[in-house]
Amino acid sequence: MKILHRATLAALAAAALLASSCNNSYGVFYSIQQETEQSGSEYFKKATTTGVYKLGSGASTAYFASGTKLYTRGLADSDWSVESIGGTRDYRLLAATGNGTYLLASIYASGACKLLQREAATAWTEIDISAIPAGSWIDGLYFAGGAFFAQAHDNYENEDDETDDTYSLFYLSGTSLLACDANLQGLNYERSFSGVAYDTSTLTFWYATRKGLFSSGNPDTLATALASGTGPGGLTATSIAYFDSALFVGVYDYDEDDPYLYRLSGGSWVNVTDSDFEGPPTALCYITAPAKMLVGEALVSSSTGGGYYEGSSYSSLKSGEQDDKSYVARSESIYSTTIGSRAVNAFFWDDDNDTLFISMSPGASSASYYGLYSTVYDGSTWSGWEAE
Amino acid sequence: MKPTTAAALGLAALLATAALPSAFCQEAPAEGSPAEAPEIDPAQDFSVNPFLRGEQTIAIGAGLHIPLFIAPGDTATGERTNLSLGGDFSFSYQYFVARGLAIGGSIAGAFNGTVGGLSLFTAPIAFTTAYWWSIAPFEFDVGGGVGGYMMRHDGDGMLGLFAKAGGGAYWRSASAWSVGLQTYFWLVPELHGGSYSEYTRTGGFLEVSVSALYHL
Repeated sequence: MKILHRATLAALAAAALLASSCNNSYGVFYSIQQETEQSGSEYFKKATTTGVYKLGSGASTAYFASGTKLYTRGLADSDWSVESIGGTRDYRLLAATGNGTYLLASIYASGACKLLQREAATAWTEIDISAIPAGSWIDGLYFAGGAFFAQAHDNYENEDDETDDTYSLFYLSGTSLLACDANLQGLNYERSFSGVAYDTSTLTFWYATRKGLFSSGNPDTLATALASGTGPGGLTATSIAYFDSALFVGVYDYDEDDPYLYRLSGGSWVNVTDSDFEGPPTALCYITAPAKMLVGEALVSSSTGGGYYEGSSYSSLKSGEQDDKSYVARSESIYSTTIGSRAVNAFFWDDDNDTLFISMSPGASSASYYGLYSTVYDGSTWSGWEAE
Repeated sequence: MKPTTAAALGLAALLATAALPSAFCQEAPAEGSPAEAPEIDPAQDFSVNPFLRGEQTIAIGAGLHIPLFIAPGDTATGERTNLSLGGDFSFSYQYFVARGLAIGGSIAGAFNGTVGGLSLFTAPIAFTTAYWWSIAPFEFDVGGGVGGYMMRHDGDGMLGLFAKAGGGAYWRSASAWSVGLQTYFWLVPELHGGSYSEYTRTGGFLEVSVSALYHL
C-alpha cells in the first residue's frame, strides 16, 4: 500500500512538474522566430553608452552616441565612427547633450576640460567656460526649456574620497557659461545633478539632484528646494522629464531599496510607482504616436532591476518583455537577449524617422551584449531591438 | 553552420537506402541447383530473421540534432529556423513481440542554440515500434514512435505531442553488442489554444547519432 502511495505521489509530483513547464501564453518556436542575430558596432560591444542625439533632418540626419567618445553615423549608414571634436579624436568624452539643432560635448583633451558645440553643417566651436571653478570637469550636460545646462564637478581628483566633491550648475548664454542661482552652486557630494526638466504648464525649470529637487522660473533666478515630504522632495532623484502634460520624477530610496515614480500635474504630486519596479528609474521617455511611455531601470544586483517598462501611459506600465509586436522589443526573446536584466541609461526617440534608441550599460558578460540598440516603428508594429 | 532542409533529408535518405538494397536483393537459389542444399550457418542465412520473439535490447545514442524547419515561417524571418546545429542523446528499450518486430520506448534530449544567444532544449518520450533484419554482421531497423515532449526556451516551457520516424544500420561487433548509425526525423508540433493560437507552430528536426545497442 505504501508503495502505491509513493507511486501516486511521484506521479503527482511529475505531473505538477510537467504542468509548471507548460506556458500556453509563450510560443517557443514563435519566440525563436522573432530572435535576430545581434551584430553591432565593435564600439558598443560590452561598452556603455549614455545617450543618443541627432543633428540635421531628412537624408542628412546624423546620429551621435555618447560613450567613452562621441560616435556618429548618418541616417542611412550602418557603421559608426569616432567624431572628431575640436580637431582631435584623442579625447575622453565627459558628457554630451543636444536638442536637434545644437549638439554640446564636454571633453578632456590635452590635459584640460573643454566644452564645445556644433550645428548640423558647422564645425565644433569652443564655449567659454571660465565661469566654472578652476580645474572643474563638466561631467553633466542637460537641455530643457530651450536652455542648455552644464554641471561643473569640482575636487574630482581624489576619486577614493568623494566627500569633498562639489557640484555647481551653469547655463549657456550665447557662447559662454553663466552660473545659475546661488542655491545651485557648490552642492555637496550627495547632491550631484541627475537632470533638468521644464514644466511648460507652469513655466518652471526643475533641477533634479541626488538629494531632492529645486525649481526656478529662469536659469538665473532664485532656485527653491522642494520641501521634504512633498512628492520627491529630499529624496534621491534618478531621472526627470516633462511630457504628456505632466512632470515625472524617478526616485530611489537606497536605504530601503525601493524605487518610486512621482507625477506632478495641476500642482499636485502623486506617487504613480508601478509595483513591478525593482531598480532606480534612470530613464524616462514618451512617444506621442503611438502613445507610449517608457521607464528604464538601473541594476540593483545581477538579478534585480534593469530593463524597462512600457505602456500607453504611466498607469498602464508593464515589463517590456512581451510577445507582442506592439511592444518596442517585439518579442520576449528579443527583449531578454538585448535589454533584459541590464542597466538602461537613456532613451532617444527620433520622431522624424520613427526610430527609438536605447542606451545601455551591458556589463562585461560573456554573451555578446551591446551598449546601444534601436527599433523602428512601421506604423503598426515594431522591428524589435537590433544592436547598433 | 546552417544545414539546409534538403541536405538533411538527403542524408536521411542516403542512410535509409544504404541499408535497403542489400536487405531486399537477396540472392535466390539458381534453378537446376543440386537437390541437396549445402548446410547453411543460421547466422549467415539471410532468409531467416535472427531477431526472435522475447528478445530484448537497450540502446544509448548521441549525435547531431539538425533543425530542418519551423512552420509556418515568420514573415520577418522568412523560412529561417533561427536555430543552429545542436546535439542530442537518447536511451531506448525494445522487446520483440514477433520475429523482427519490436515495440518499446525511448527518451531523448536535444539542444540547439538560437541566433539570439539562447538555447532550445527538447526532451521527447515515445512509444516505439521497429522492424529489424540482419545481413551478418550488419543489422538494420526501420521504425517510428509517438509520444510527448517537454521543451524549454528562455525560461519558459511547453508540452506537446511528438512523433519520429527513421532507422539505423549497425555492426554486430560482439555477441551482445552492436554499434552503428541511426537517423530519425522528429516532428514537434507546438499547439496553442484560445487567444494564443497564433503561436501554433510545428518544428522539424533530424537526429543523426551514433548508437550502441546491447542485446539482453
